[in-house]
Amino acid sequence: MAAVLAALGHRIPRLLANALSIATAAAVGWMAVTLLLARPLVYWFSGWAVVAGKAIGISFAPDAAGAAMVAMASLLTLASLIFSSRYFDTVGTLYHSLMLVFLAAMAGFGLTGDLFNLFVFFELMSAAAFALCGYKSEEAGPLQGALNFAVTNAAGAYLVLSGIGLLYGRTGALNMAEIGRRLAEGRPDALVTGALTMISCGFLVKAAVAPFHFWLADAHAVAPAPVCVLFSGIMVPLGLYAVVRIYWAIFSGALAGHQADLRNLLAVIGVATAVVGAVMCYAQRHFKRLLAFSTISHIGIMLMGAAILTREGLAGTGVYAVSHGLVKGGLFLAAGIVLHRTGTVDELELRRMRHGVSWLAAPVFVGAAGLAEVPPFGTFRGEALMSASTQALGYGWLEWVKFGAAVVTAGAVLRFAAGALLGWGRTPDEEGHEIPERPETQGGHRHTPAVMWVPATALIVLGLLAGMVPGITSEAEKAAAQVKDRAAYAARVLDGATVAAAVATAAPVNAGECARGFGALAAAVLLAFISLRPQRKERRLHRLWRGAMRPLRDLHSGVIPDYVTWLLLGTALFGGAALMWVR
Amino acid sequence: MTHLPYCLAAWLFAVGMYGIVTSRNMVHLIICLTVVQSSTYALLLAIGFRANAVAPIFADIKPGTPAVDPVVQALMLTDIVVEVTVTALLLGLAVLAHQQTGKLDPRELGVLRG
Repeated sequence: MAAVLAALGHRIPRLLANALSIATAAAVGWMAVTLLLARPLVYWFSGWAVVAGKAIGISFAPDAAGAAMVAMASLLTLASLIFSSRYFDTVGTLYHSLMLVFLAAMAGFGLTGDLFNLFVFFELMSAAAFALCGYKSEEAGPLQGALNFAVTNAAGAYLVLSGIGLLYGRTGALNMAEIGRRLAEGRPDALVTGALTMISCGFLVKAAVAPFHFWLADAHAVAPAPVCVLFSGIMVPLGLYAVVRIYWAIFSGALAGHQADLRNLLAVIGVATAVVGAVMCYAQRHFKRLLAFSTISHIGIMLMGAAILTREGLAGTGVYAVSHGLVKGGLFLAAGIVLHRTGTVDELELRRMRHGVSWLAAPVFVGAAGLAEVPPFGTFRGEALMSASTQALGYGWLEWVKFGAAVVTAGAVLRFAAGALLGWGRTPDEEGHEIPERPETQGGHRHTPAVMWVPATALIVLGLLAGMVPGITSEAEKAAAQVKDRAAYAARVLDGATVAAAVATAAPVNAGECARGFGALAAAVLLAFISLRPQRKERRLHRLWRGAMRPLRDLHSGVIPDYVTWLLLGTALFGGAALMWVR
Repeated sequence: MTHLPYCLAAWLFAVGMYGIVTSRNMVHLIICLTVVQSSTYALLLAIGFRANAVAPIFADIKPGTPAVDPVVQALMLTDIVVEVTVTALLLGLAVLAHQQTGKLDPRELGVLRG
């Protein structure tokens, strides 16, 4: 382990050439896989360990879930670095350093066992992300996107820090296991729910959950495509991971009596996120922005899974997050290829030009199937896991929301592939606003180098294969059980206890679930077909739809003060609801 | 122990957020963000404060002398470092945006909408 960590320190940025940065990302991935296969362990920096139940130093306490996140982060970084090696016309080594800092921060974030350390890695991750988002600093769009992203996320980070301060004031500890143990001894009061609110809302800003999601679409629309892969594929799910980790490690003991309340609250947020994301996704014509809203929608689905607060729900969310990240990463790289060849990802413009990237429709179709949760995609396996416990707890209606969100987002992606890439049917005019954008490359490249299409298709195929790995669901259930077991986590970190291997019951995939997956795909195809059908009759329907969408569109104003107002409002509502529990 | 520092933290948070929400100038907005962050300094220091205690420098004081909590001070220092990074980056972005568009009002940047 010490060797692994020495190597972790090795990743502090240097000016690295392509080869070196790719090798580094691969090395980190290899280490993460080692951690994933190893038994959970605890590493205390400089050997400052625990004295009489009090953590003195700072620890890394990786378990399967954290290590899986790091493995995922390094895989996506690897893919996007390979892609970037030919993607940009001009790129400084600063880009590589930023990517590696980003990866290092995500790795630390996934592994750490210390709450303040988590915050520091969170900020490091954010700072690298802001800079990467505004990388094309000679244009107005990326600058505005990066500003929106940075201000809302910084405000969220200060909420997290205040919450950490409150917890430290109460417990005198910063180690997550120790805080959890101390909090569990007392009754939950306003301070506990206040801290829960601040920390959760702060991280949910990063997770782009409604009403904190506004920055995400802006940032994704303008960030370079390979950077979007990391944003959507791993950074946003990491926000959710932090909420899950902190709830289970810290608050689950103190708030054990309020699980049902929390379940309702998170489920409502998840539903709002999935619906807003799906509807806005369908209304876009800028492919990267469309994918960004689809990410928001899918984060809503993941939140609904995690909100159930059961082992299966959590395990399903994990499998879903991995598979969704891979598929979405592949789709963003496909968007990058389109941009590389044509200089635009606008649906209408692409339709009007002869672009020669029609072949890309094939991987994009497959990716859309992944978004629709079709077997054997990992998203399907994850969804099947979640749905079992959702229904057992009487939250069956959540499944319908998830179904709808999956159908609409997949339908929108299919519409883009069929309409813009293949030129089928008719794309409705004036959908969405055009985003003036100079591409990261000059466009008009005649060929797509293999280093670009191979990572794109490989990611989508991996997302497909993720569902077929034997035993993935039972492994995920074991990981989820580890995350959920607060007492065992505390014993592992503070008392050096070894973990008893959790037993998992591998849920068999039933036919109903498969039918549901294929049904979603059929519905998505139907939706895409309807949107592309050249019929006069739908004009009125179309106008009605546009009228209905206007207020929602106006909410996504691109104005920072509005976003921060939503942030405050959302936090106040969350905090008010949480305060009601302990009153 | 007094409640004043906690009230100060809450006040700084509130005025900073008010400033951000009503801001018409990017630089003003970023400075308001640092005001919000100052509330975390006040909060952290308030948490670590002990009446009649000395600074936590253990070189030339008698063992057993009460000292204020050094951990929160370390947190605050880290916090300041983080803040400087983010503020510098944000101001840099704002300057670039002003060069590109000639505008500083966050309501008029308006490239991204809907």
